[in-house]
Formats: sequence, structure tokens, C-alpha cells
Amino acid sequence: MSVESIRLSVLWNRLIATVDEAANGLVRSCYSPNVREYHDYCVGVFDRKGRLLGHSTHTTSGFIGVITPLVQDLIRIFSGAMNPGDVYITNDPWMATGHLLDVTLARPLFHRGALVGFAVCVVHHSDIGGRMSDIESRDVYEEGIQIPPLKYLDAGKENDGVVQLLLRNVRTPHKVNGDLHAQRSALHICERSLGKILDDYPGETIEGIADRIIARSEESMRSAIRSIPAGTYRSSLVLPPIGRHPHPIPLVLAIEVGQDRIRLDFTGSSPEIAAAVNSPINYAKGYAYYALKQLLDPHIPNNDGCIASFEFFAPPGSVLNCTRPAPTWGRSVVSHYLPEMVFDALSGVLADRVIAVCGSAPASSVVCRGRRYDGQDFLALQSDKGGYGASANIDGKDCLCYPHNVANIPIEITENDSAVVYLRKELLCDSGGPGRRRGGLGQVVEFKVAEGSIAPIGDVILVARGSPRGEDSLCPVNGILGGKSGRGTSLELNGNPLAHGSTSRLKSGDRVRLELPGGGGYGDPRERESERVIADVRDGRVSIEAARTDYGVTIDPEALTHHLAEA
Amino acid sequence: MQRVDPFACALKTKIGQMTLRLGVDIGGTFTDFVVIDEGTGAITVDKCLTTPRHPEEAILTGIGRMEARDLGGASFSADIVHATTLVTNAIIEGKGAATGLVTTEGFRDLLEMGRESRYYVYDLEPQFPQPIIPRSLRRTVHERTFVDGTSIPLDEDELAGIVRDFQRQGVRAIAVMFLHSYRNPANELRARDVIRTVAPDMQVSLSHQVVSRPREYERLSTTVLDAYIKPIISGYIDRLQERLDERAYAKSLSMMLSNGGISPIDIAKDYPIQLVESGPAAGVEAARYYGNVLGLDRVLAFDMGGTTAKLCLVRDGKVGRTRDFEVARVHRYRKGSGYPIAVQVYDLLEIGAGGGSIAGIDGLGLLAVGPRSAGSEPGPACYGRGGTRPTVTDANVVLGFISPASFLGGEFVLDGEAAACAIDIHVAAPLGISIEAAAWGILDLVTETMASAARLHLAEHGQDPSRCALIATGGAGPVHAVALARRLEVPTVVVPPMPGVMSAFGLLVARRSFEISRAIRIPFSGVAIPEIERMFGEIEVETRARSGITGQMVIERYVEIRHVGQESAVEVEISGNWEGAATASAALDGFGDEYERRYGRRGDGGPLEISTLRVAVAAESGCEQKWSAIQPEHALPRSQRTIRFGEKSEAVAVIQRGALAAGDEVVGPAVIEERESTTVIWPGDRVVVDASSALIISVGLTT
Repeated sequence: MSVESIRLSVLWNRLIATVDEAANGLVRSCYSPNVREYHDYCVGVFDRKGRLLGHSTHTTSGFIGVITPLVQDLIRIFSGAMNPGDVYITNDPWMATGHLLDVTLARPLFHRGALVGFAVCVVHHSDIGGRMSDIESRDVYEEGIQIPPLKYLDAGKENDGVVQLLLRNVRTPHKVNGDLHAQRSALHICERSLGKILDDYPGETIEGIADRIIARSEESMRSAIRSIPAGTYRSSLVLPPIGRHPHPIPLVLAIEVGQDRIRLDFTGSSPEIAAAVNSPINYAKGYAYYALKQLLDPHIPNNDGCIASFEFFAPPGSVLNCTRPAPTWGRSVVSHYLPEMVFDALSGVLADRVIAVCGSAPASSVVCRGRRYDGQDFLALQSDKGGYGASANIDGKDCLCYPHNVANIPIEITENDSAVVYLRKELLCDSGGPGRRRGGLGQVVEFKVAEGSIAPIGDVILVARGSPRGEDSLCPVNGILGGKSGRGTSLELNGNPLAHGSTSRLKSGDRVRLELPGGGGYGDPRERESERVIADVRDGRVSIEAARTDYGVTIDPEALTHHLAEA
Repeated sequence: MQRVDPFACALKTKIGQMTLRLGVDIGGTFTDFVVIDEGTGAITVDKCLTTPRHPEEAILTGIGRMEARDLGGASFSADIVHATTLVTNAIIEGKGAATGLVTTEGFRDLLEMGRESRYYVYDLEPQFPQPIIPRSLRRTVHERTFVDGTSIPLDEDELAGIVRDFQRQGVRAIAVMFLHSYRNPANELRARDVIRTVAPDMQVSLSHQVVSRPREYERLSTTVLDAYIKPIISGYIDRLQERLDERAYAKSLSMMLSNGGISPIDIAKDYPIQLVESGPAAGVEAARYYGNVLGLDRVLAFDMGGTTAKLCLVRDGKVGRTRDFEVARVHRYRKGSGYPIAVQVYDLLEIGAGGGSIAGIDGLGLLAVGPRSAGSEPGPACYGRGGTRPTVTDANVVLGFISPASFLGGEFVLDGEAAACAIDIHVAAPLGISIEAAAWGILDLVTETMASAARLHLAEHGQDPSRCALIATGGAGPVHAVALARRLEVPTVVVPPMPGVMSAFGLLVARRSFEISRAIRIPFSGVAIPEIERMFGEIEVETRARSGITGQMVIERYVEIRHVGQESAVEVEISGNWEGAATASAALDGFGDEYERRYGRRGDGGPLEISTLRVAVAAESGCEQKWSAIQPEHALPRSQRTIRFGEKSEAVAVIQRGALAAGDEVVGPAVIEERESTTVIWPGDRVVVDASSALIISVGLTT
């Protein structure tokens, strides 16, 4: 047992290094900023039963508990016909990661002729055809080409028919094809390096390693669950109407904590709606499990043992368990709220661990497409972030992605690749939710369609979605345990409000402005140390006015100037 | 691969003229000195305690000591090459100057926003380093440069006002970062003139000069750090120069940059951020030198000290470079938790595994080692300075790898009891195993941590460890090298002489070199491209001229090839003439070979392009001195002690390194001790002492 604890530690480290090596290969050989800059991907390895052993350290967050049923479906579909060198492909939202843009490649891993496991690489592609309308599609057929589970490579040979059909249906065939190749590279690296581990440890099998990793992780999670008093914890939220759906969208959660199990029950949540924000169950489950993992046992590298004690229920046909052919393009618009519901429900019993709501939930999305001054077609994605929620110990970080985890695309990269010119990207004063610990600041972003020598040829099509979470909206960026809401939210075109998720045609010089809210505060703002408030005012994060009204700290502007001179 | 024999090098010194060359490396604790007398070939090594407030003091002290020993005759005078950790330490400790930022209107906060993502996805309270420049000292001016190079001119009056404000607030350095300045630097250059007019003493860093490429956050971060350390570094260099001049100690003074280049001190003063990895780069230079001397075409340089281990691949005498580097990570060794630095540095891997790495049991009941380190204060439990947590060094003491009595030549006696006790309490008892088994586990795990990182590093370069040789340096390197080699299936380990002062030595054996690379975009299909030959010709003329190298030069040409649409490219060294088809076709083959090594196929099928041309020139040989092998002192005693290798205890010979002469052979198990390190030879391994006094260990491949 004890020597085993050393060996398992060694094997586990090596396994994660292997998946990270594969993720590096993906990033280094990719063709689109989605992977290179935005980092919207995941690489995972499984045993031959389809149990997840580990995934890349850098990953999009909401795939926990999602890629396992996906691999198990693929095993069922292709069992009996698996060959070394096979690679399977699908973007089925229900089977895979919730919308057509995410294309999954999976490979059975063979070692000395025997099937030993699977590797999966999911990438958010730059385009998948369809009307590219964010939340306006009425069904999944409008959202792009659907790829049922197929062989992309058959015993190492590319399935030309599949590739041709796919590339004919997307706007950026070169990038899509290139990123598929990069995914292939990642899977190749998984097989090569996992094989090396088996060579180095002749007595080991991937399945045997999985048994041990999963058993330990499961036990660890169970003991974390036991630290929460048994009982039912509740939270509910009402999201504002969106797009074609003119009604508020209720979400209702009951967390049933048992002896060493947790059941998440979303009974009472909205039925699926006419806007393309519905979530297939796996994707919704992913974000709920993600929050539990973060809260209860964050430091163990994730694997299927970590979620074995969780159960998820959302009524079939609901917005969190939608049925084909519901449109799902903007499924994050709803599912990104689930982590904060989990935190809210458990804030009474885990007060020192939960965080306030984050201003970047749900993730914003701004897509521009058109033709640059030099004749190149472009398709540019931007996603700027609101502030992070405060927690018991620290102020929230300014402008940080949560619960999603993707980077911003550099301004200079976007401007080089498109016909967009940024005018402003700055912190938004007073946007952080007041609290004993302050929420992180949100930001204001302003850009225009290029003019003069770099003006585009023709119109630019804009599909923009910011944050719907104003202070007086149905669901502000709430503070927690006495903390106040984060502030600041707007989406404007040439100074006029723009509906979230709508499509517009822009001319040269047209201006778009977004405000993304700060994170919620934690605890009573009147308990905040006055020196912290003064420091915030000096830094321009909090105004003198807000220092007085929110924190009860009166600051003499003269004294502040004097202070500055001394600094 | 040309084999260079140091003893066959021509003696370039004129008879009767003393020619000393001095390598000085300022580390966190010690300042190391290596002096080579090119006339006699004699090598002198010394160490002084580093003097952090006035680092030049230690240098003067060290030189004074050498002068007192009559090195170089009556008055000491040497060509001095210098490396330092001052830059990294100033950043980590937050000891740079008060710095202001001037940036494009509308973009005041890019420094603080960073890339807006989380580096560890399950951590609910992610921590980030404080921005180097607080918001109150980040100011914006009206100006804008666009992607096509057109621009809105700088508002000079507005800038002048900001500079006066900065002066009032005691700012000593200003970083200037304007969007797209890499495409048209006019506004940044104009800003510098305005700043100089208003504040002649102000230090200025311009982003396009520090990093001339897109990605504003990384360029900004690098420029800000450059400005932040500039007053300190230029002040230090001025004082050093002055003190050396007073005594006429330095015939010349140059510094090692992070990419292995040796540059005149004015470049180091103008762009001090280029010094960020100068010490580790010098260490890699030493490994590269030994690789050349010993005719090894694939070397894994392995340096292990108290808190970290560093690994770097040297292939065919060449070292990979990267612009993806970070300092001062708050979450140690997690990429994304530090300040990015986008200047070119040697692509070396830093791992949180050193002698001081702390072992314990994690929440899963599994053994964990590092990355937390006991450092030198309180240090490992066996140091007896108050450390109670078991470390890697404690495990080495328990297993007998390190002898408590002969550590640092016996000057510092270790407490073996304390080591065993710490391991017992924190590892052995909780796991219910013996202290020795626990110590072995610690060693096993730290070995795997390094091996995993090494595999990843090698895989990125498409290399197989079993074709490499490991060159071990640093205090802990020789202790762990064979274990690491066994784990990686590396067949050969080399422990050079003086493993504890390798960086200082590396400063003396680094070749003088210079290179220019030019970003281009030319479609490539494997056929002749005369245009490339013309461009290479131009770059070569410029590179030769600016290199400052006199005498014979080695010239190398490289192309970077990628698929259209990719950003990362594959570099191929290619020497032929691009007017002929053979060169292009060889380049295409080189690309295919490397792509296959990395990704399992020769390409993605799409069109290719050449994205970069690079010309590197170097002085023909870095080996301009004849130096003598260390003279053996056969009188040194041999002894025996018991060492545990896994389950087995073995009685092993303890040999003093000073007693070994060229040609001597040792069969493991054995330990070879010297003042600053111990080399552990495993059962069945064979050691041969090379003509250069290096230990060449053939590693048995059964573990």
C-alpha cells in the first residue's frame, strides 16, 4: 500500500505530463486563434472502459463529466470495428459538448496490438457553417453542419468523403481543416507517450492505473462531502428574457447532500425556449459538477473518481436538458449561471470557501465578419471579461474569466486579422461589488469598424452579446454574505442600445461599446478596512463618492492629492 | 558535428604577455569566479558571498583576493565576462525603481488585465502578481498607430505634462508602449525625445525596441520590467565599471545575455531585461562546451541546486530559444502566474525540484515532494537550523548518498539524526513504512518529477532521451544525475570538473556570437527561390558587420517553415545556395523529418511558407585557451560506506574526486566526493575519467 502510494504518485504525474504534452502539440500546430490565443480546447485520456484518468492542465472548464459519456457512446458505436490508427469525429451537441462549434476527435489507443485506452481532443472551431446568428436560430439545423459519429481516420487513412463534406460546409475551411490536423497531432502524441509509460512499467495497465486513481479520488471527494451537514440546500435564479423568448427564465436548484453523495436536482427550471440558449444535459451537468469540484476538492487532478459521488437531474425538455432539435449555439448563456447557484445554495455551510458572483458569467461573445481592405475574408471573435467575485480572503481579480476559462485575443492580433479598430479597453471605476472584500472590476470596451486606408470592403456583420446583468436587472452580479452587486453593463451601437445576441450590419466608422460588470462583493462593505478603500480611491478603482456611500469612508480630495505626491 | 579538443587548441597568446580571462557569475548566495590564464593554461576558482546591496563589492573582493595570490603578476588585469541574477532578484523582490507607464489613449489597464484567463482551472481563489506599475502611475496619451503603419501623431504637450507629473512623484523610469509600434515606431521614438527634453535624467524603455512584435500584453509586460530594473542595473554597471577602472582590473567588460550571446555592456544597460536568464544561460554554455569537447551531439544540460532544477537540450551544439518565458510566478511553476517576458531566452525548463524541496503526504494519502522548498533558511532538517520538514537532501543523507561528515568539504557537518527523524514523522510513520523506504520514495518521486518535465521538454523538441547525454552541474546535480538518467534511459552522464561553478566557467567558453532574424512570408513548395538567396546575402553582410567578431567566423543559415495559417514553425538549418533546387528540396525534407518526429506525419498537406530567415555568426572556436587538467593528488584516502539503492544496502567505495586521474576507471556502486558536490554511481555503472577531468558515466539500463 505504501510503496504503492509512491508508485501511483509517479505514474499519475507522468500521465498528466503526457496529456499536457499532447495539448502543447495541439497549440503549436493549430491554425486558428481559437486554439492559439483563446485556448478553447481540452485533451483527455481514458482507459479502455472509457473512464477518464486525466485531462490537460489547461482546459476549458465545463467539460467535467461531459467527455466521459461521450467516449462511452463512441465505444458503444464503434466497438467491434476499432483499428489502430482510427480517429472518430463528431460535433453532436447531445453526445458531445453542447454545440456544433465544438468538434471532438477521439482515438482508440493501442499498445503492442491491444486496445488499452482512448484519447479525446475537443476544439472550439472558428466556424461550422449555418447562419452564425448566436441565439437567433430556431433549431439546430440552422446552426451549421451536424457531424454524427463517423470515422475521420480509418486505420490511419483519412476518410476523404467526410472531410470534403465538412469543409464544403464551413466558411473557414482552411482553418477548420488545419485545426483538425492539430487535434490529430494531439491524439498521436497521447498514444505515443502512453505507450512509452506502458513500456517503462511492464506490470502496469492503463485500466489498473485508472482503478487506483479513481478509487483514491472518489474516496477523497466522499470525505469532502462528509464535511457538509446532510440536508437539502436550495437556490433559484430568474434570468432576463432573451432574443425571441419574451419571458423571464427561472432556474431552480435543490442540492441534496447525503452521507457521501450529492444530488443536484433542477426540477422547476424553465422548459426549453425559443432562443438558442438551451443546454443538452451533459453540458449543464459539466458546469454544475465543475463548481462542486472547485468547492470541495480542488487540488486533485480531475478524473472520473472526482465526480463518481455526484448525481444530476434536470427534467427532460427543460432548458438544462433540451431535446433535439432545440437550438443550442449559445448554451453557455444559461449554463454559465449554474456554478453561482451551487455557491449560493452552499454559502451557509461553506462560507469561507464560496465566491461571490463573477461579472464574466455568462461569457460575452462578439463576432465580426467581413472582408478586409486587402481582400482577405475575416471572422474575428472577441470575448472580454467582467470582474471576478470576491471571497472571504481576497478581493476579486479584475477582468477574469469565470466560469468559462478562455483568454482574451490580443488587440493587435484582432486588428491584424480583421477590420476592427479598438478605441478603448479599460477598467470600469466603481464596477466592483462593494464588500468587506471587493469584487474585481469590470471593463469598458469600445471598437469601431476601420476607416480610411484600412476600411473593409463592404459591410461588416456583427453578432454581439455582452452581459445582461445590470444592477436593476432580474439577476444582478450578486454579492454574497452581505456583499453588494457588481455594476456596469451595457451594449451599444453608435450610442444606441443593442439587443444581446442580435445580428447587425456595420459600416466603416460604426462604433460598438460594451460595459462588462464587476464581480460581486463579499461581506459587509462597512467592515472594509479604510486603508484599502483609500488605496482603491487613489488607484481610481473606487470614486470618492462611492467610498462615502458604499463604504462609509469620507475622503478629502485635497488630502488624496497630497498623498499621491508623497507616494 | 566537429569535435573540438581543448588540448589541441592553438596557443594564441604571445609569449611573455599575461592574458587572463575572468568569468564572474553573481548568484543569490555566492559570487563565483573562474580565471583562466591563457599563457599557462592554469585555472583558478573562487567563491565570495554575494553582497546584494552593492554587488560590485563582492567582485572587487574576489579580484582583490586573486591579486593577492599574485595571479597575473603584479597587477591583475583581465578580459571580464559577467553574468548575474540581479535582474530576476530585483523583480521577484520588488526592488526595482519607481516606474511610470505611458501608453495609447484608451488602454491604461492592459498591464493589469493580462490575458484574463485562469492558469489553474479548479482553483477558486486564483492569485496573480501585483502589476509592476500601480494604476496611478499608468497614464495615457493621445496617439494611435494602425495595422498598416499609418498613424495619428503623438500629443506632445500632453505627454510633457505627464512627464512633469511623474517627476514630481519621484518616477525614475518610464516605459512607453503604443499599439502597433512594432510596425511603425515613430510615435514611440518621438515620445522618447519629449521625455528626454523634459527630464534628461529619466530612464526610458520603448516597447518596439524591447520586443519588436505584436501581442500587446506580452510586449507591455516586458517593456515595463525593462524600465523597472533599468535604473538599478545601469547604476550597478556604471559603479562596477568605475571601480574596475580605478584599479585597471578590466581590459574589457562584457555580459552574457539570456540567449547565450555575449554583448558589450552598453547593450546590457540599454536593454537590461535581456539579462534575465544570464546566469542559467552561462550554465548552458558550459554544458554545450563539454558536449563539444566530448563529441556529444545531443546533450541534456541538468543543473540542480537548492530550490530548482533546470534542464536544457543542446543539439549539435545548438540551444533552442523561446520568447515564452515568465518570472516571479506567484503559484510556483504554474505557467500563467508570473510576469511574461517576450525577449529571446534559452529554452530551459525550470522545475520546482531541488535539494531543499519539502516532502510530505497529500490529501489523498500519496507522497508529494516540492515545489515548496526549505531554501537555505531554515534549510533541510539535517542543516540543524530549525528546519523540521523533510527534504530531498534529508533523504539523500538517510540513504547515504550524501555523507554528513564531508558535506562542503566537512566545513558544515549535517545532522543525520534530524534528517531521519523528519522523514519518520512526516512520511514514514503516516505511510507505515520504514524510514529508508520513505527516503527512497522521496528520491524516486523527485526523480520522476524531473524526468516527466524532461520528457515533455524533449518531446517539444522532437528528441528521444535515449539518444542524449546528461551533463550534470550544480550542488545537487551530480547526486541525482544517474537516477534521473536511469529513469529517462539516458545512457551517458557527464560530471564536469568544478560542477559548482559551471556558470562562471561557461562565461569563458561561450563563443562570441551574433545573429539577425528577419520575419518574411514566402510561399514554399520545395523548389529553388533565388529571392531567398538574395535576402540571405543581405542579412549575412549585416550580421557579419554588426557582430563585432574579428577573425574567422562560422556562419549558419536557418529557415523557419510552416503551413500557411500556422504560427509556430519548424526551423531547418540549411547551408546551400537557394538559387539551386537541391537546397530547397533538402529544406523540405528537413521540415518533413521534424514534423514527423513531432506529430507523426510529414505535414498536413496544405501549402507551406517560409516565415523567418535567420543568420547566426560565431567566432570560429570558443576554445581560445589551453588549460590544464586538474592534477590528481593520489594521497587522498579512499573509504567505504553503506548506501541504500531501493531495497538493497550496498557497501560502496568512497573516492575523493581529487584523487582521480585521466584514464582512471571506477565501477559502481561508488560515490565520488568533492567539496561542493557528490556524484553517486549506481551498481553496475562504469566511470571513466576523461582527459579534461570530467567523469564519464556509462549508465546501466536496468533499474
